[in-house]
Amino acid sequence: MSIRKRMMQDIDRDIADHIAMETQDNIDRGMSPEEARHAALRKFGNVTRVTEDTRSAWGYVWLEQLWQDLRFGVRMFFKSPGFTAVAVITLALGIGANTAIFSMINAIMFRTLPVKNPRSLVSIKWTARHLPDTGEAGVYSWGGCPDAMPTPQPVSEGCNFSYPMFERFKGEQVLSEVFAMVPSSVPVNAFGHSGRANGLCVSGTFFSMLGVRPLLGRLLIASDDNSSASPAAVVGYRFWKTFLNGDPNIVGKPISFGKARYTLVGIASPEFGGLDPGVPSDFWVPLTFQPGMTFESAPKALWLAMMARLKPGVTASQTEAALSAMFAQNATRGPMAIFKPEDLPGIELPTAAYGLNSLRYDFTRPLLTLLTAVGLVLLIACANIAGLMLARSKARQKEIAMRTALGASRVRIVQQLLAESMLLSLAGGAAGLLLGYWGARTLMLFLSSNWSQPIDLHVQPDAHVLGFTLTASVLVGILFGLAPALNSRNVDLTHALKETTGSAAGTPNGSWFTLANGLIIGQMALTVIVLVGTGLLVRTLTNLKNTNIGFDSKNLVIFDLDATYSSRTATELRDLGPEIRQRIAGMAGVTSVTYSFLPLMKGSRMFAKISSIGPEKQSGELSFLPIAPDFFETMVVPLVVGRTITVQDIREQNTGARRHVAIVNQAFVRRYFGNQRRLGDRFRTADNNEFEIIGVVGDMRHENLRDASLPTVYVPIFNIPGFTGLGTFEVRTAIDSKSLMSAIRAEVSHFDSNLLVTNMKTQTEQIEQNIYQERLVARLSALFTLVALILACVGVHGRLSYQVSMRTQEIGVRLALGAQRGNIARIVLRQAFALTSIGATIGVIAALGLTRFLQSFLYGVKTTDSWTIATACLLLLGWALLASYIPARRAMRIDPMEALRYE
Amino acid sequence: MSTKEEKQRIELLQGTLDLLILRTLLLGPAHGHAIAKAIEFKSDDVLQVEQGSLYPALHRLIRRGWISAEEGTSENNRRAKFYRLTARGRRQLVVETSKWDKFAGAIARILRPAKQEGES
Repeated sequence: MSIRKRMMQDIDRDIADHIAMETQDNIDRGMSPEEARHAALRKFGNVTRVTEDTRSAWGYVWLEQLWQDLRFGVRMFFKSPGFTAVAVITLALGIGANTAIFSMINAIMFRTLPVKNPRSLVSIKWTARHLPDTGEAGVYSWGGCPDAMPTPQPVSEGCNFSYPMFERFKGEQVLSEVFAMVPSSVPVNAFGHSGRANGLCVSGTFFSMLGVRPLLGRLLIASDDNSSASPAAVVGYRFWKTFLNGDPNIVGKPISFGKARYTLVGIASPEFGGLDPGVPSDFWVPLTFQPGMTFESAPKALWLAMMARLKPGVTASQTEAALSAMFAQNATRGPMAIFKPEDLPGIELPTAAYGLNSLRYDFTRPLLTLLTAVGLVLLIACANIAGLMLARSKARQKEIAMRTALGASRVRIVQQLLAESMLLSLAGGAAGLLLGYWGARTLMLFLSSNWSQPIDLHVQPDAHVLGFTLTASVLVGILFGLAPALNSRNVDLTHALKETTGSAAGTPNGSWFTLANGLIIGQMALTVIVLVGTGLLVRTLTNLKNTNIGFDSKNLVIFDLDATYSSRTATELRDLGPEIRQRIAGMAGVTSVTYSFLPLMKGSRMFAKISSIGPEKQSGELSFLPIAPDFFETMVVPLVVGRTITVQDIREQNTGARRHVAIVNQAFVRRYFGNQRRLGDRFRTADNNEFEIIGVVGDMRHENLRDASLPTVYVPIFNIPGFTGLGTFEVRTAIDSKSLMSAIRAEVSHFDSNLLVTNMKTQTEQIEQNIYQERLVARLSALFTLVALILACVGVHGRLSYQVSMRTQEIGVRLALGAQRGNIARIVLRQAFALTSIGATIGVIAALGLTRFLQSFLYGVKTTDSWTIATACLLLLGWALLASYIPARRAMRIDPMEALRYE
Repeated sequence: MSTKEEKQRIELLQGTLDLLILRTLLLGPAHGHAIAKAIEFKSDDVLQVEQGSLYPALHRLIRRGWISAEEGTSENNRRAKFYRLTARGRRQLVVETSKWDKFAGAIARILRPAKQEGES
């Protein structure tokens, strides 16, 4: 046994021995035994404190006391399981919601790529004073910069380079390695599945530089870059599992991505989803096998993105300087010259440790908004539990007074109360962690189903998430533990010990602005902030849904049709659209069918430059959509004047007939013709085609629900050479459109099994997807607000119930002296009303300041919307009065005789 | 608050008390009560120690390795814990004593002129 342990065990006995000896001495001196013992004790001092001080000589006491406090806390909580359950569940919800949102933010922003040494990876970005002049080549700019937030500075920048420039970078000694890539999105029809696959065309060192391992087979290597090598493809784990049925024998088999045929040489390891966290790549193919690309011939074409690894010991800024010099030289002179020397072209190397992060741009704002909302809810939960703890600590005042009298120091008491609150918050935090994981997964599934590609984020709790949850729990524990702990310091010993349990101890005889009332007011204020914010978001969503979009989105099936795998010739392809249209139109339940180059409400639109338009020969840019016959009939858009596009128009356009016809919308007429509907007017596009206006239709929104209709031109749909997508079909159904989907699929496949039907959904679903951010934020805020309201309700109820029970005697006296029961109830309700009103006033002021940050989310409603604010306040007041009903009734029913006997 | 004041008092006492304990044990092992009695007796009851405060001090000294504790029987045949000065404690006593002498000397030098002034 250690000396420490032995000494500690003997303390009590030693002290007892000591006192016994002293007593004996005193008796020897002639005192009575009782007197002797008292004298001995007096001389010894406070036994409890001496014991504690002696123990503290052995260190670890703090820990031991903590352990003691925790055990005591657990016992206390088991004594009041109701309170414990409410507190832990409240905390679990609050912390869980925060953990869930943070897990998402963490997965999107703070996780490095699962590759070898991600911190030394950089992207390569050019900057210049002016836009590059790429001449004939044009800019195929797909971004490829990490964290592609648009920068509003007057500098032009980009992450795309020409192939010869990539070779220059490859030859640079200052970089340890570099690879180039370009994204590719192609239709795939393989092994019984069809759809689109998103991949990357990469240079040979891609996998070796990232240190990715194959799950099966091999990955791409440098020799795959040779145009003489047989074309090889690697697929991602997720694609292999879902699309290729996880078949291990697939390695070595041929596979087509779009028109190009490859041999599938391997499957990447499951951890590596690609360079864009959360958006897994389906395949990787060598850069040189991009069909239709001739790199050498286009030294100015900017289309490749690059990633490089810094040399160990060389800083990014040193490397930047070296590369800038090389780039400035090559980009201002010779065949690759795209800048003038005064443009000062240079190179920057932003870190690529977190990957390309395309999700960040879209999700950061809604997630941060939600984090604010859940943060407020957690604060409300905190205030709530602080109130409960406060009431409990009042009830425990006698116990605390007793402990103090027995020699416990104040620090010790505060420590014990804090240990108890910490115990609660950690229990809540542990439950919250589980809840948070579940929540984050649910959130991810929601986002995934509304995003253009499947999302696969790693939301499992990692060190960041654990740290966040732990910190949140500890802070919360301190926050709500502080109130009762501070309160315990003001205990008046003699007073508290004399009191019978729970009578005057909590009488609000002092200031009305007590800590407990402050907590309720704070809770009310926070709830109002959340209510107003949610109100604005919900109104935004309803406004969006009730927007007049100019066409009927119900009972409309849309799908994309792709003829990549069809063996038809270009001329045959031209007739494919009308044929399919006829096939589907003949189906039972289908009212009408049309197709257009782009789907509506998918966030995209086409532009055309007009060189001469209207009486003033204006030039301008307008929205533009190629459509098939019956487009306006199918979409239910009114034809204001003239006629719509016919099969004849399409045929003439496709056979290169002299006459181009166009239908314009009313916004177009308003803008260029001063609202005079003139048919037969002509306008000229920038590529010098002349169009004759043959009809005017009503305005419809193309891109999304928010943006009003732009001046738009509809032209007969045409085939772009080499482009195998037929566009988006729109099918108006007389019956539930969902039920027709599989029949339409079957019809198309029956007609030609090589045609790919992708993105099939109803137009309503498409709209819902388009407003997923608003839906997500509004719905989750509504959920959190409900939680906030319930918490606030519980808080008010608890506070008032407690007050009524504390004032039982006083109420009894009042009743005995002839007070009306109605008046008694009014006292309670007045209290609720006062607390809520003060809280709501503070909340509204705070909300006016805070909701500014919601501005960009809102639609059709101002942040200062009085209706929303009034509703929020009334709702809260209603809730608060409802919550005070039970305590008020209890106060009314107090029996004066009973209450007075209580003393 | 009272806690703070008490602490200061104990701290002031601590060093002195430690020294007194070590000095007492120089004469031979003793149990807690005997040490308290010895301190009171030797100082002609000038130093009235709250007996309880002896124990934290004793345990501190054990932890520092200056004294050790062993089971034994007291003069009136009671089982008790005896504290004994260790070799390290003996060395420490020399250090502490010289420190105390310096301290006491310094205090005395400060106080003496004042006393003389008062007398004249």
